[in-house]
Amino acid sequence: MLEGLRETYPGTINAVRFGRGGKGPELGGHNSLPFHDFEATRPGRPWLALEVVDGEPEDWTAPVLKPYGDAVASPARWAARSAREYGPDMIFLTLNSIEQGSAFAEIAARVAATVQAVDIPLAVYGSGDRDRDVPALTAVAEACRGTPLLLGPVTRDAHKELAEVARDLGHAVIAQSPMDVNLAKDLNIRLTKILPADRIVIDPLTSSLGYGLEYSYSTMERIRLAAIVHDDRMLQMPIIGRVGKEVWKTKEAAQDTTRGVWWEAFTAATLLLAGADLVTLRHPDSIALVKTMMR
Amino acid sequence: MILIGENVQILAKVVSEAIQNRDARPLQDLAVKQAEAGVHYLDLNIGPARKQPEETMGWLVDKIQEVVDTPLCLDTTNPVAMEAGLAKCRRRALINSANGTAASREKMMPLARKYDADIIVSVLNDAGIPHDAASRAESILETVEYANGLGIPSGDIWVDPIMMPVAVAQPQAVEVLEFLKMLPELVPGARSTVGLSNLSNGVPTRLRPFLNRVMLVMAQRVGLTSAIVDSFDRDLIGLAGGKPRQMVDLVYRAMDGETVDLASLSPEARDLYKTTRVLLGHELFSSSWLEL
Repeated sequence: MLEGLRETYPGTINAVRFGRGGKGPELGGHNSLPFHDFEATRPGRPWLALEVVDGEPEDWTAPVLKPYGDAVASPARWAARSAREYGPDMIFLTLNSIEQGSAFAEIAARVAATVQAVDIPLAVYGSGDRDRDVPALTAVAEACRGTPLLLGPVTRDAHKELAEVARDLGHAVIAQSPMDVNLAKDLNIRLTKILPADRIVIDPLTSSLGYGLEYSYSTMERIRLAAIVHDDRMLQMPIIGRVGKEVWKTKEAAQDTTRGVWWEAFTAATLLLAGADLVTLRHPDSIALVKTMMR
Repeated sequence: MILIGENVQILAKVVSEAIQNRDARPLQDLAVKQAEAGVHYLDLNIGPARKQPEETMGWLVDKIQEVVDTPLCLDTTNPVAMEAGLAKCRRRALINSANGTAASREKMMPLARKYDADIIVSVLNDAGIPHDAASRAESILETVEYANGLGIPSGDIWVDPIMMPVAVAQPQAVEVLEFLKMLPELVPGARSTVGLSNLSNGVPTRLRPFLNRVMLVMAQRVGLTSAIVDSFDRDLIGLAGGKPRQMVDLVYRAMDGETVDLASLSPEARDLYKTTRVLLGHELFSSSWLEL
């Protein structure tokens, strides 16, 4: 009876492979709309990442840092502790130290140590300043050759340099465009002239609940529908929602940690429903809550 | 296909400076060159003309009529400027434009009767720009009925379905085509026009003509009788005249759903075919659409 109501779709999301030699876990790789595993011939499960920073965690409030204790002094220890205690699928390392003036070689050494400290995939995110990100991420990419990282942000302006580095050294990239399905596609067309499509993740930018989440939702939904229903190859990349950073800068979250956890978990859950394949979170209670919801 | 040249328009820096300084030469040059390019009307767009509306449009019409005899399409949202311009036109003018909003019905529309001019009437109404073919139809039926009541015959009305930028609202291109197909039954005797270049707003300059050209061919096929265009796009003007024939036919074949082997096409034809697919909604738009 229900059999007849199932839809099948032409499009499949690319599987981005991690782990040494690319033999680790896969992000994406499914062929249904979000949580429609009953319709999928290749079911998938979104990834939950925990955020970590190197350098000073300037944009983190004390209550969100507290669960990680003194591990926050070192990204390798912080990442190891998060991975061990809270079970994320990925560590999302933001390089605060780029803006804080660290030498690129030091930054790269810290990232390499972090890679050694965890056995789950690592994303490494720059400052958004192209002039500093390109050399910093290039140093990181070289230091971590052999272990695929997810490097970003790659924007239209600096896409060539970073895509070439990722191509040559075996990493994947986060392609960032400002909340627009057409611009996301445009950047992917440009990137796939340099990199294989299965080494790209789309970041259409995230806003938090109460601060324009509807726009993020709508953009992600359009990207996902184009990819799955309309089989648009230039949008069949996994989507990332960078939730933690956006949520914890709101006054609602900053003023009340319990409320912040719910704010973070529901922003993440909403984006997962829209089609995100990977969301980044800061508070351990949020990841627990999202895991519960997904079950 | 009646072509209305868009190049005297206030958003162009050379035009806004010339109007501001009352420097007629650059404007007259533009008018002469457009007329030579073969367009049938010249659009004179002075925007809302908040300062000295009467004096500005009156001066512009005078200066343009000194050098060309091409009929004029007066383009302002300011009815005071519009009336001043209409009073000066030697040939039957085209009002650009009126719409279904209360303000436009009251102030702009009566000028068509008073000055015996043709009038562009868009599907805009107080609810905004309609989002599909059916609501465009509903809006224009009401507005035309009102205009007819003022004594403006449908034959003097040029219906504008409002072309939206493909980079912002890709599905609207198909809605415009659907609406144009319906128009002869909706408003028998009416003509039609579109501000073609708006389609490619926000697209890199080099790529804009591809979209404009293909849309013109498609819209003409479904009944569009005129368009406001870039007078200096020679290929566009050629296509409006049905040339080259094989290019026009290629767009038609794509419209008819024929699958064309890209490898069999010349680079120019390939670009045209890819653009047709984007405008028909078969391929999600991105400004790298020709590179796919």
